[in-house]
Amino acid sequence: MRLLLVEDDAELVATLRRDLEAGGYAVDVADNGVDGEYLGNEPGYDVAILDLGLPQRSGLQVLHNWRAAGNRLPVIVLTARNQWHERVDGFRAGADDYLGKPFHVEELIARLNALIHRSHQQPAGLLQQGGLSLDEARQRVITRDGREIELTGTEFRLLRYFLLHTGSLLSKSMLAEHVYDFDSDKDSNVIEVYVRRLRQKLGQQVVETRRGQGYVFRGLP
Amino acid sequence: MRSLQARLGIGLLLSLVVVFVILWYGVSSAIRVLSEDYIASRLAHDAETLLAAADVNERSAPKLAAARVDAVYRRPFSGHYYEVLTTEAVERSRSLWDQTLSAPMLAVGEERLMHGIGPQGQPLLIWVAGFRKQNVHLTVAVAEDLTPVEHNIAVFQNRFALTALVVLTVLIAIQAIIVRTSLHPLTQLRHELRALERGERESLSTHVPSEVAALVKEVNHLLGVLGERLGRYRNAFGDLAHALKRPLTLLHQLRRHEVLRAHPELGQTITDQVESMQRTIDRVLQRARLAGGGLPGAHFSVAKDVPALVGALARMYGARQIQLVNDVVENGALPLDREDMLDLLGNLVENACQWASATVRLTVRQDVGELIFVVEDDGAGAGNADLADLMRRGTREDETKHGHGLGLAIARDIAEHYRGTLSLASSPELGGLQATARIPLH
Repeated sequence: MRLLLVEDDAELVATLRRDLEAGGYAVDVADNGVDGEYLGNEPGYDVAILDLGLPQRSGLQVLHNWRAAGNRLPVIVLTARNQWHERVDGFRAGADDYLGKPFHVEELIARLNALIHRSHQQPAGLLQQGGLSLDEARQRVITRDGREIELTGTEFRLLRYFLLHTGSLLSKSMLAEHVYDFDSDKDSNVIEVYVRRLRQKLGQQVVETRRGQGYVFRGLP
Repeated sequence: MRSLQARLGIGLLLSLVVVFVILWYGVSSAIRVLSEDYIASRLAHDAETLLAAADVNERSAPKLAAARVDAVYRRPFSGHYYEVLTTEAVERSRSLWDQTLSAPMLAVGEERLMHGIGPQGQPLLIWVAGFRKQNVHLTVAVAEDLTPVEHNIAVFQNRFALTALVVLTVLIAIQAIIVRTSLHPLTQLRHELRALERGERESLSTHVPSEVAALVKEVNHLLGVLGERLGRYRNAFGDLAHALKRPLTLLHQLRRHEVLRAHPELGQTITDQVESMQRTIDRVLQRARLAGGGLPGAHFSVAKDVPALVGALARMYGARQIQLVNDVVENGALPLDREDMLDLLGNLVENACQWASATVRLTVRQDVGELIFVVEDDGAGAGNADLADLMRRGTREDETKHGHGLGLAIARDIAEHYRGTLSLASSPELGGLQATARIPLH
């Protein structure tokens, strides 16, 4: 899952980036409203964390502009301004969730996961698809017959993306875009390596290869 | 407080009465003087006629030739009288009927006009003059009854008084209309002030007469200054909270640092302290914001703001079903601060969402002079002893623990700031906690 973090506090960004990456997110950062708005309009983001007190352009204005331009990117507002009228205004501007500072990173990640489930019409809790249940908190997958399988960070990200897009054709570059952040070397051949690893752990049939086009996730037979 | 209209009315009445009394007296005196002058000149003329008719010698009373004396002097009490006096004798007109005018002897050439009382108590104007005829010194006194003149003056005075009364009434009525019309802007001002208090206006209309324009300008200026100050305070507190929350957030994240993971008890201490500071900031901020309230800010609209708040909460607590029952028939925004009311309701409903198992119900209704919010949940609720404990908790920040306490304490602060109440009970229908906030609407 590729996440856009729009926050101007460099120290908070540093700790938050680490925690979010540990939570299975590829994180891009914008430290002002103008850059944040521009990046948020780029395709490829699955969710955004938006601070309201931003330099150059306020977070509320950024959110408003995104929604006015038809950008439906799921947004969690993360702000010290958490008076109720500010929250109401935030939701009215098009926020999907709202978290006041200071906050528990665990809560932020839980809300991010819930928001992503919601935006893919998935119920809250474990992400269940094709005979697999993904435990996002512990980053492991449980098969239908109760087998728990450990996943590395990249495997987890890739599998989560597959589970959320079961049955859809996903190109290698699209997968790379959602699994890696902006600064990573997006060599789409690496995706092949991770797809192979997932197949080794879960079985050959879980991912179908469409030659020259990409992959389709099928789940357990 | 005395009415300006009554004061102006009494002032006008008094001054008009003084003017009319002076006029009444002046005009009456002028008429009297003119009439008496006219009568006096006629009397002088009659005196000369009498002098010509008089036959005098030094020893006997003067004789007047009857043919040359007007008949009116012979009819008793006719109102026209004379006396011709010499040093030895007196000749009186027959009309006097043996009464006397008591005229003094005057020196030759001397003339005098005097008032006297005649027969039958008639008020008389008497003209007396001293002459010398055929070497005899004599005085002629001619008198005329003033009763007809007095009567005319009395008639005039009555008519004058009557006219004055009518004019006075009409003037007072006209003045009342003028005053009411000129005071209309003040009445309008009073309505506007009431609207200001209800929060339907933000300033007073400046289309007023110049006499009150300065006052209106000053009130508007004060409103502006106070509103600005309120905004500045609120911004300052908001900025302070923002500034404090940044380091608090970082401290909070510190707990996850490798060094601290090795010492979970240290991490827990940091977390506890950070959260305690956070609660203190929230509570103090809330109080400070309220203390600055009481001036028209943005106004609370049940129809607009409550559904927006419920929508926000529904998104934050997706698993909870929030029912909204709105029984308020609204006629315009209420004189309540939008931010305060959203904080009150937000805290109550969020608290309920945290404790509910599935359903939260918010009922808004309007009673005589008050707005009532009822927030119920279907959670475990609280026993009677716990309810009392809940109400007591949150009165001091350090006693406020996460959960029911802080949200309810803030809600109660807001309710009390608006001279309202917050009461807790068990929800009869949902079974959980029921919080009822009553906010008076002036």
